[in-house]
Amino acid sequence: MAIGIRRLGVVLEDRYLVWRLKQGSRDALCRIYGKYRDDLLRLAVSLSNETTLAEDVVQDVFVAFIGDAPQFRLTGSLKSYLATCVANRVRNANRDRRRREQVGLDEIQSVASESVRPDQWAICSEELERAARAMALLSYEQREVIALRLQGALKFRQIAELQGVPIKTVLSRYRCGLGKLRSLLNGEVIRCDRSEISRSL
Amino acid sequence: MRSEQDIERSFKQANLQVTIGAERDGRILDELVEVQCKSASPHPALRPASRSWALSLAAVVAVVIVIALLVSRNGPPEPEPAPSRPQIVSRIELATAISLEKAFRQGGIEAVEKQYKETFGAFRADAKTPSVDELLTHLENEITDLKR
Repeated sequence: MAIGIRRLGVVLEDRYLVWRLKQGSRDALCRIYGKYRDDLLRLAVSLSNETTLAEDVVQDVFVAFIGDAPQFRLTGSLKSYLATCVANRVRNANRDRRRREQVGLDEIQSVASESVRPDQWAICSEELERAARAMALLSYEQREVIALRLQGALKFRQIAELQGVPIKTVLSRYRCGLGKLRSLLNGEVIRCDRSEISRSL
Repeated sequence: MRSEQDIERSFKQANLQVTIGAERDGRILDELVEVQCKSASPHPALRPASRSWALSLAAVVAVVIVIALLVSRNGPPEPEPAPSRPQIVSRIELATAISLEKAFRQGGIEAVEKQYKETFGAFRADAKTPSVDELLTHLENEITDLKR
């Protein structure tokens, strides 16, 4: 009950902030930015395993959101909306990166290998770096499901719509990915093969 | 050993801290404010349309004012005067009729005679001297007209 009321309060606050933002309120802009900046950076780091890319993605998402604010219409949770934008942009960035990798244009740096830059926006804690490294070992679909569910607070139904798959597939990706993460973080690596997926269903 | 519930809990952000670099954070916020200002300003394509609309409105107002001034200077078309009933044309006749009627009421035919003499003595304009009967007939006609 208390969680429901808190959630309702968040939704109402978001609607109010979006309404103020559409009227050009700078306070609303700062409030939304401060409210969701950390969550989106965390999500982007978990999805991309690369701090620089995560920073760029979150910055782009905010710029696009603020730029389109006069036409924006909030239908659900603002956090879910922004998290979906981050996931889409990370997916596009990964696709571009794979293309560049094929032609050998750049080297990929992981979160662990990055040194702190002078203009760094997000400095990840050790826990976050470990989690991102473990997530990087999952398939991208599993990573996306876990990150969007646990960090983006999306419902499985919304993730299924985003990925364009049935909800059962999303659930199996979630369970399988979570099991793999547990094994990785406990120091054991197991394979999540087809038989495991069918068992989890 | 971590259970899956522990993994879920730890991924729900509690332990996954991210520290924000203040310098770049400030720059990004400034950029966002700039983007907000740009998106809030009216679309450039609309400006010429609104300007032309304002010009055409001003032209219409000017034309209306000019027309109003022209109309007010010339004045509105005056209505045709209504045909009035025939009035007594000369002052002599008017004076004679009124004074004779008054004299008749006050002193009868003698007073009319007296008034007749005074009137024509005062104006001396008419060479022709009408008789008392003519005057009475004229007086009756005048009274009838006045009553009508």
